[in-house]
Amino acid sequence: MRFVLRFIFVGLIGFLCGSYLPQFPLWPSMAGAFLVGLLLSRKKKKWVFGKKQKPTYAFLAGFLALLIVWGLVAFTKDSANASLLSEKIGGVFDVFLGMEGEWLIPKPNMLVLITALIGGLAGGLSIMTGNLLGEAIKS
Amino acid sequence: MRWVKFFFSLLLTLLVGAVLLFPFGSTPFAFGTFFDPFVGFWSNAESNDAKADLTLSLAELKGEVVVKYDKRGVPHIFAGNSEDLFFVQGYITAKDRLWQMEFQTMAAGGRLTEIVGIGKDSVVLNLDRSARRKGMVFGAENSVEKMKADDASYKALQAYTKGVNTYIESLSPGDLPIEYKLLGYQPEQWTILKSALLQKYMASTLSWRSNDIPYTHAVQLWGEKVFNTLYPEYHREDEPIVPKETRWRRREVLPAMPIPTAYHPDSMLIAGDFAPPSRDEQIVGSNNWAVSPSKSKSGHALLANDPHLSLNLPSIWYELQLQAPGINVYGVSLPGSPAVIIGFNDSIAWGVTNGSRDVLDHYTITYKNDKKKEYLHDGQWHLIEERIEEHLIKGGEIYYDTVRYTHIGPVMYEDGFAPKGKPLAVRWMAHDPSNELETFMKLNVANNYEEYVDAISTFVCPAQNFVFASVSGDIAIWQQGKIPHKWKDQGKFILDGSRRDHIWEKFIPQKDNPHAFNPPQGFVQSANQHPTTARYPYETQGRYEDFRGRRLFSLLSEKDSMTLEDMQAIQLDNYYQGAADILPFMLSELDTLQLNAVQRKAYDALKQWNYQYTTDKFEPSIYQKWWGELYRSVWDDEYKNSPLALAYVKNRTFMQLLQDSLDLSYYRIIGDSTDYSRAYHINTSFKKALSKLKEERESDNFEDWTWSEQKKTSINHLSRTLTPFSRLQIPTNGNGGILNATGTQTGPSWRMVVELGPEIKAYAIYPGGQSGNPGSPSYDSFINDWVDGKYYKLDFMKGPEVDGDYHTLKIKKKNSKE
Repeated sequence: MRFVLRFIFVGLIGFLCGSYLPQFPLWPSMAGAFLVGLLLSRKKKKWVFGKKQKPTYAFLAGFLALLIVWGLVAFTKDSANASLLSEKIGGVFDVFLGMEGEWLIPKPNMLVLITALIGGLAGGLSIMTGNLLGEAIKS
Repeated sequence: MRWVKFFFSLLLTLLVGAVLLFPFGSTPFAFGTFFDPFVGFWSNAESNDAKADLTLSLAELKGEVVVKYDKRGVPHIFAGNSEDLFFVQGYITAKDRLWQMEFQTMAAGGRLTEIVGIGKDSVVLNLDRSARRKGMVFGAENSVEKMKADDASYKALQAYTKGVNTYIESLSPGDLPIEYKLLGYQPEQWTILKSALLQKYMASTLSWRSNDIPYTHAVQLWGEKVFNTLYPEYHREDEPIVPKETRWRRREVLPAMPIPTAYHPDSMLIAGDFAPPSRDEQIVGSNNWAVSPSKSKSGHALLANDPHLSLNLPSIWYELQLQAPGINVYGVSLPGSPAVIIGFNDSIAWGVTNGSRDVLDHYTITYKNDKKKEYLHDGQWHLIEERIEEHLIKGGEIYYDTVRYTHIGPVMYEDGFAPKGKPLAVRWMAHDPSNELETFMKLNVANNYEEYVDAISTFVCPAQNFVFASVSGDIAIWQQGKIPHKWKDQGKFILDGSRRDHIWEKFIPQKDNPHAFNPPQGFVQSANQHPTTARYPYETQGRYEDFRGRRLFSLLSEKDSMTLEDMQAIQLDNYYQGAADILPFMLSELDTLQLNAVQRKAYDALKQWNYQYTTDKFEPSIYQKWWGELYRSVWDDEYKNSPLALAYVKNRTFMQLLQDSLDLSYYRIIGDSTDYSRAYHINTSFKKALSKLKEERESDNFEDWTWSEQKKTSINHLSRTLTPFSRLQIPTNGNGGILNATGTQTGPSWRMVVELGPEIKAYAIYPGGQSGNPGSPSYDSFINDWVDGKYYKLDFMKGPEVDGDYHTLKIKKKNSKE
């Protein structure tokens, strides 16, 4: 349940901050995930159903939440654009990195994947830190 | 333990956050921001769905403005007054082209280091220094003063500027053009100075060209006689812009000065230190012409214009229609300037080609001493005015450059800014206060010939050939610019800045500029050729085109009862006059008994060839290669062994020398005692060309040698570095020197044909798209049709109340209460 709550809150905050706070990229979502982690951290051990909960669960919830939100938003925009821009941006990375040749998977897919992973990483780390702070304070 | 875990996790999060939110290393952008799907590059991925209608409210407007975008994305702006009109022109141009507008003026003003740093081997810094040292900002500042003096231009510029800035202020981070995100910077406020810099950008493209230095070398090495043989001002069979039979009133002829055969020996340069202009004919140029009702099928005047410029994405042109009480004009604008630059209204049409006149001269400067505070002129010491140019470099460093200004102009070359030798100041027409916008403002609303002449008469730089046609049936052409009235050969060579008689003192009276109005031949034309015959009583030095004008003249002479389709066919004409001039002679000099099978086949094919440069033909590849090899065979040894950098002999000149002279000292190879003949060069270069083609195409099957393989056109993104935003290697018809002057990086940047009947009929196309966003389908949507030689019918709307395939942007005045 807590996993689901974490997942929903981080995802929702990530989506809302992204949509309505365009001046501030990424970090309001990170701050949001941190707060979710802090507020939804365990009060006492016995609250958990017999199992010792690890911070990795918190990480996983945040990671999946922003992974899905960022990935889906990127995927939607890419589809509506028929990958016109993502092909070119992939090419720009080739130029910047001095690479030539094929990518492992098509450029647009790869860029959606990288986007999702960046979101996931930021979300996961933030909620985990919040969670650990909560636990440290309450212990 | 838990606190340790927390701190460890916090540290990791902050670290990752920092990496994602700040640019690191040489990456100009932050990864987290760039990939953020809400505001990063993904938000520049425009949806392919049809655009929705939109309504905006802006406080700056006086009334409501309606913008109808047609299905090609061309905005038709309908405003209640001209200030609202130009405000919205600025606003929507910025909406489509903000990055380009700013980047062009940054380049013009020598500020690229702020965006990309000094570049490899300081190339960017040197480009910037060059822009500042040649006086681009100085000239633009002078022009701003002049613009302010004309009420209509100043009001239009103010409104346009406000429009651009209103857009910039409303810009949400996600809508920032992708180039800003990639290069990691932000747009700044638009200013009138930036519009003036854009004018200078065009002036530089079209008139910053000079052979003063290599010509001085040539006359020094070879003397006056040889110089005049190799670099003649006129060629046989030239078809000047104004009809040959034009009579001129006699003018005061200025006393000639001796040609400086022993000029400034200490100012000379070492070969290779100064790159001579390229041999290529693909200099930027253009075609325009008008046909009188007597030669047109419909009985209405026709007008055509295709300016050949460096082909870039986003395109240099932005197509639109402007309508307000007193103005209704359609055509292309330059992003960064109000008004339409080339186009038509309901009474007249006009177009421009480059006048190619020499309005840039170099002067040696004599300083009093090493302090360089005073310089000699007319027997007196004058004070230098120092201008410290501050180059802000990305990352925070500043590079200071001192540019010394004389009353002639800035001392561009000195202090290790190449070339070596004596300091050289530049006198360039674009330094003078001028307001070229005024001309376009007036042309936009001109109704007849008199108003057209009034509009262009104040145009200063770069000298342009303004072609004109009206609904009332008049046609005309004027070569207009402020042109120094020079003594013979003044400024062909480096001038002496200490002498008063070397300075530009007088200018050709405007009414004496070359022009033709309703000439008996029934048409007027220009293709960057010589404006007049030698009978014109003023100096007309310049860098002229030798082939297109002759072809254009003959096509227009031959045909009667012309239509818009004929006009298009002329713009798309792929006949190369140069090959027609020389190839029969070259073939006649070939020793056909000495040819092998492949060579014989090539010979036979060339004999049959109609001089057409189309993608499916292999003959242009062979001719082009052969001519290039022949040129090198004769001239390479002269150029390579020259102690000084020289200007190349023009193709046209060499063709005439070749036909005229069986024995020419240049046929000898330097350092080789054999007496090489003309036939030797022609025969060996033919064989060499064929073996080179075989090598390059890895085949001796002529089907693999087609022009589509041999010449490809690239339309580069303005940044030059973001190559995936370019369209590269497109096979195209035509070439430099041909009416369809599509070269490797230059070509017809706007093809327009107009019929001036009671209902204006017009067709046009440009190689780009209305949107400047590489993530938009409209970014390069016209290119394929342009390559195919197609045209779009232009939708010259009467008013905003129409049904059809439009989407509407309504901009309302915002009430202060809201």
